[in-house]
Amino acid sequence: MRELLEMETIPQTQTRHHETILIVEDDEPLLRLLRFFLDDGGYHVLCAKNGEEAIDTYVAHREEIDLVLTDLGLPGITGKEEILALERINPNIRIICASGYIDPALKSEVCQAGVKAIVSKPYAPQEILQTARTVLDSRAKEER
Amino acid sequence: MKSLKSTWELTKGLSEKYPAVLLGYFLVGYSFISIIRLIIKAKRDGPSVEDLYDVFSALPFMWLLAMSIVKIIQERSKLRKIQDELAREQVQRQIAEIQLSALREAEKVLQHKINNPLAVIALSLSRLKRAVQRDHDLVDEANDIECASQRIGSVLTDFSRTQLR
Repeated sequence: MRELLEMETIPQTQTRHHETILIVEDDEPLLRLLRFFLDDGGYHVLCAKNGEEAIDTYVAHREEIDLVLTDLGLPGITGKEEILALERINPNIRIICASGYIDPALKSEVCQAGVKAIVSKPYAPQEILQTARTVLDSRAKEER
Repeated sequence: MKSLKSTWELTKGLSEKYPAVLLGYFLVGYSFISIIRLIIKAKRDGPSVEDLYDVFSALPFMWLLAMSIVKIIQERSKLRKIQDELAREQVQRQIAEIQLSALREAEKVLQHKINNPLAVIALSLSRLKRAVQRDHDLVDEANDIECASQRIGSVLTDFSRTQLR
């Protein structure tokens, strides 16, 4: 049972992927942990602490970034505004939203704006890794 | 003018409260005036059955008129009561809606404020469990912390589901 639990809760180090993920999170400890798990999951990780920084980072690394993982409750410009701005820069952008609370109306708005998946906080590392993988794989399938 | 207004208000209040009493006063008043008229006429021209008929023939119609007025007053009172009740219910409903929307707003803020640190706890625990995976006691303790933090999250979720939906 214990082994099963460990297998379930402890992510194993993955093989390295070639994809880059931009994490947008204002909560510094959470940002650090997400960076750790995604990095450990084999991704190249870029970080931003607010919407403005996220847009700047995306513009600077547009060709490199395959996926954006963003919080919705951000200081300065809101998560929704940031998503819309990123979508204007690249209409084919892949975005995953993570939030402690997502209003149903906001949920449908961000989905219309091109968000591919929504993850509710608190989440397990596997949930994030799995969602990221699914969204990235769906892009690969579409490209084929 | 002021006393006239207050007398009118008093009469209005009384008529709404006791319409049957008003009807009584109405009929007694009319009968009193009719009798005075009859006495005056009898003194002037001598008593006659025709005068008696003239004076009291209108009495049934006056009674019908008074009954109609009483009925109108009663219906108006009922209508006013229903309107007051509806207005009170509407105010109560508005108050309840305002309270509910304030609670929903608080719920949004709380969900956001609580779930962010819970996410930090969940991810930190996963990391810690990896670091201490050979020490089963520590892994158990980490699992206990994880369960406790999940309970904190579910308290708010359950409250939202049961009380605010």
